[in-house]
Amino acid sequence: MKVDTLSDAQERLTALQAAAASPGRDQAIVVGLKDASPLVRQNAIALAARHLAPEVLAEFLADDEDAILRNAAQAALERQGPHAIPHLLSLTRGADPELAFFAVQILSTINDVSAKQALLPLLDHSDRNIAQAAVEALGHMRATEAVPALIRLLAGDPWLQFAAASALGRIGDARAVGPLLERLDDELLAEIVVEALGRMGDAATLAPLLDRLVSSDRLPLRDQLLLAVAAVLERNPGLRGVPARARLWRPEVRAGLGEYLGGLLAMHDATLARSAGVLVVHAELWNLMPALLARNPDSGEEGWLEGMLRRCRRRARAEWLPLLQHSDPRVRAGALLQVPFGAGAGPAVAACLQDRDPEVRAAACFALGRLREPSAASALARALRSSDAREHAAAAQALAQLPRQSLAELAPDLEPGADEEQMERALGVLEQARSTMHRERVRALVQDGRPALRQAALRVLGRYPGHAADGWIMAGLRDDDTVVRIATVEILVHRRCRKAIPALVELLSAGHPLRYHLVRALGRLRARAAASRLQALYAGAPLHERIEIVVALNQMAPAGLLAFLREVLREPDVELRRVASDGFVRAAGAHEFETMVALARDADWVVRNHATWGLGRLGLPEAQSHLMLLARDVEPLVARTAQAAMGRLRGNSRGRDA
Amino acid sequence: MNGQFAEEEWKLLLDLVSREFGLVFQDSRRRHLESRLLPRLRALGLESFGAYYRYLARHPERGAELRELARIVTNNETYFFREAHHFDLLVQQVVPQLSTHSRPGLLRVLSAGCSSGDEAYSIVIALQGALVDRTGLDWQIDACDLNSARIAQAREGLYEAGSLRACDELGRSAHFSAQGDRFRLRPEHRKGTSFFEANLAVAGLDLPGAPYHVIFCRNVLIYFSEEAFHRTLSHFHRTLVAGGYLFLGHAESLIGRRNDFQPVRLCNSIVYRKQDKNP
Repeated sequence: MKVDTLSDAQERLTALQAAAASPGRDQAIVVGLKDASPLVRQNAIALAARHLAPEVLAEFLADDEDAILRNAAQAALERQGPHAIPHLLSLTRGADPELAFFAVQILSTINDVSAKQALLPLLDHSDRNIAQAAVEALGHMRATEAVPALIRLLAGDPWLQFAAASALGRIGDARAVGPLLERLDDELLAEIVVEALGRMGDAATLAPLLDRLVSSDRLPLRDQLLLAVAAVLERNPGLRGVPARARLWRPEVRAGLGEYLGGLLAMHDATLARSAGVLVVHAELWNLMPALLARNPDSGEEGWLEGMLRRCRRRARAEWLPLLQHSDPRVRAGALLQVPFGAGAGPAVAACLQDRDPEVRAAACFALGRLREPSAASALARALRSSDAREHAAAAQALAQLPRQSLAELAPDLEPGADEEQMERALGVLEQARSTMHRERVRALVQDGRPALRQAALRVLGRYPGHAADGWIMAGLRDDDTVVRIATVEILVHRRCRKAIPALVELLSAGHPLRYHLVRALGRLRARAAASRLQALYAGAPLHERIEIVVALNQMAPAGLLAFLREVLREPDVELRRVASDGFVRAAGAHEFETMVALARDADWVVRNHATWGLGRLGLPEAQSHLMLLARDVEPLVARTAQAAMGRLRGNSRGRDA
Repeated sequence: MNGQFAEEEWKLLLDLVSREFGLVFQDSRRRHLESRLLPRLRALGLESFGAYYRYLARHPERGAELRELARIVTNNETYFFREAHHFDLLVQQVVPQLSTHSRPGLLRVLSAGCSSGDEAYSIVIALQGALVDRTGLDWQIDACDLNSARIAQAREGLYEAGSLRACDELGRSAHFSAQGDRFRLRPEHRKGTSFFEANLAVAGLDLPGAPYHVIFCRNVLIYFSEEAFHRTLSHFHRTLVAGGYLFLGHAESLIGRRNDFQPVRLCNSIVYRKQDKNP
């Protein structure tokens, strides 16, 4: 037994890549398609898609002896996309049923609209494997034109019933709801039908699905029913009557369902737990709410649950309040974070600021911010002075959401004798709130001896409306501290402060690290007046600045840009060439078509990708053959760009014809 | 590069992560990763992932930023006695075998991808619990991770309650002392541990405590590219003693991927043993 180490595979990969440019290329690719190492095989598949004809690859599909080669050929044909479609369609009509089967599968993956009509007759193919592959393909392609035939198959050959139900679920056409519901009690089909109905999410299916969920104790059907019920509820948040229906459940049924859902909420499986949560909320199963809230802070589902509770806000508000006194701090914190309390809950939420658990106190800050409760300002300002990082961060966020006048509470934190960290937190709140309160104090802090405070004060000024504060901010460009100067540059760019452009240009003589930021700032401000200065800097600048100079010039689009970029494209550094090609393909006109075609043959995939996009942008009919080749590029992203560009070209051509 | 080339920028960034750290990211984790990277973009004053990629590729301070990136892209999900049966296997099956066959006066273990040290300290606690030190056997537990912040946390030995989720009340009080709402590992459980930064995916990795009798590398390789996976396994093969053991996570397997490690069934678990030579 030979050990296949990485170095062996690496050697074979190197040999394959070398052979790609040699006369023995095609043979080397076929050998690579059979390689035992996935590393080598993946590269061979990319090369095969680019260089081997669909007819050649299709021959390997028929190879029963070598499954590795067959799978690799299939993958290569899939990557060929539109290029392979004509031959694949001819195979579906051919005499070899196995080839026809594989061809249908590949067409399904390529998912091109042109194949749908050709697949429809295959639904009635005498070979059931081919018919099944066609059903699956049309489902995958969401072919609504296949719906009547698929509904007919639901009542036909059992071999095809499963595939038809699944395909109808994928297509999601409302015509299929009734026929699928009729099959809901079919022992064999039930699971697949439930899955299909869940995918469709039609409101009319809720009652029958819910009834079966309550009465069923058979797994995995019950899990499938729960997933489907949750999908329908999430798709139709306005559905009413679920709590009323739940109140009609017999106590033993309710207990059994509660046990089932409670078990899921304690599980790590997020999908089932989340579905259980959806039902708990929509059916208002209050005894399970603590389990749902306790689960959430750990599981990264906060946004989802909060969103759902918000959508269900009309439901039962008063019942949430007792949960703020629950013995489990995770439940208290969960309720504060997730439940969209109304204004009346302010005092109960504010009381949680005194909770013994810091997580709960932080959550209370968050909830008060959401309530925009001005009476909480003083308590939140105290929380802002907390030593617990979670608590003071939450308090800062909450204070920023309160009505403007509430921020008067921050005055003690901004007084000259206040602690530096305290001042920074208060300034952070003013920045987040875009508040102009304490203006004189903030202006004074721009001159403070401590750089962190100067920077924080400048950030506050950066959020002031209008341009009155621009002059005060620009003073930061002369700061002694480089970090403050860099921050000032960023603030000015965010304010789109064109008044600062001359000052920024003047500072370009400053060295690293400020100049890097100045170059980028001038680009983002589209400061065309600075273009010649940047071009002059280019030759003597370090590499990372040269790259940013090219990016900035691309953004400014000054006269003579194409000539400059053409020079940069001759540079050896790949990153420089990449940014240059980006600018070139955006600025070039039809007269640069040949240069664009040359770039589309570049060794670097990023340059090829830019050129491919550029060919689509030009929209010239003569780009078609080049794009067809690029649609089989070894780099899938380039292939996708080429396919999109071809679509654009087809659109242009239809427009011209019309 | 922006707008039309958002996918391209993202691929460049992911390719760089794969090249530097051997880690691969599925598309499903894209939003999660983006949200974790955004604070870095803000800190550097960069406006797009394309600008961030260029910074990582060519900026003179890229080395420092790559360390920050390593901190962000590593999955630090770990806790004490995760997959607890592995620690039982270590003390009940592996250590006795190694003692019989090779009589190592010093048991050398590597915890590769150790994150905040929970696994390395669990090994020490397990060895101490089995009174292994009374048999005259001493140990050296080397623990390495790509993430420097996690290594610092491991050295500090202070943990949130979540790290102790698999410990019962008795275990908590026996091995930790409460410190506010956190838990500090008792000093005796630090015995023989050494933490250091290391990138398992690079060629020529130097592991100072090698050769090892046992390597734990659990729930790390699932995030690796094919190339990084093989390179790491080659490091392990090189640094394990003949017959040394490799413990992987339950979702990881070498069967059909490497035959220089032999799968061995121990008490219904699969562990791997170094094959010394090609049979």
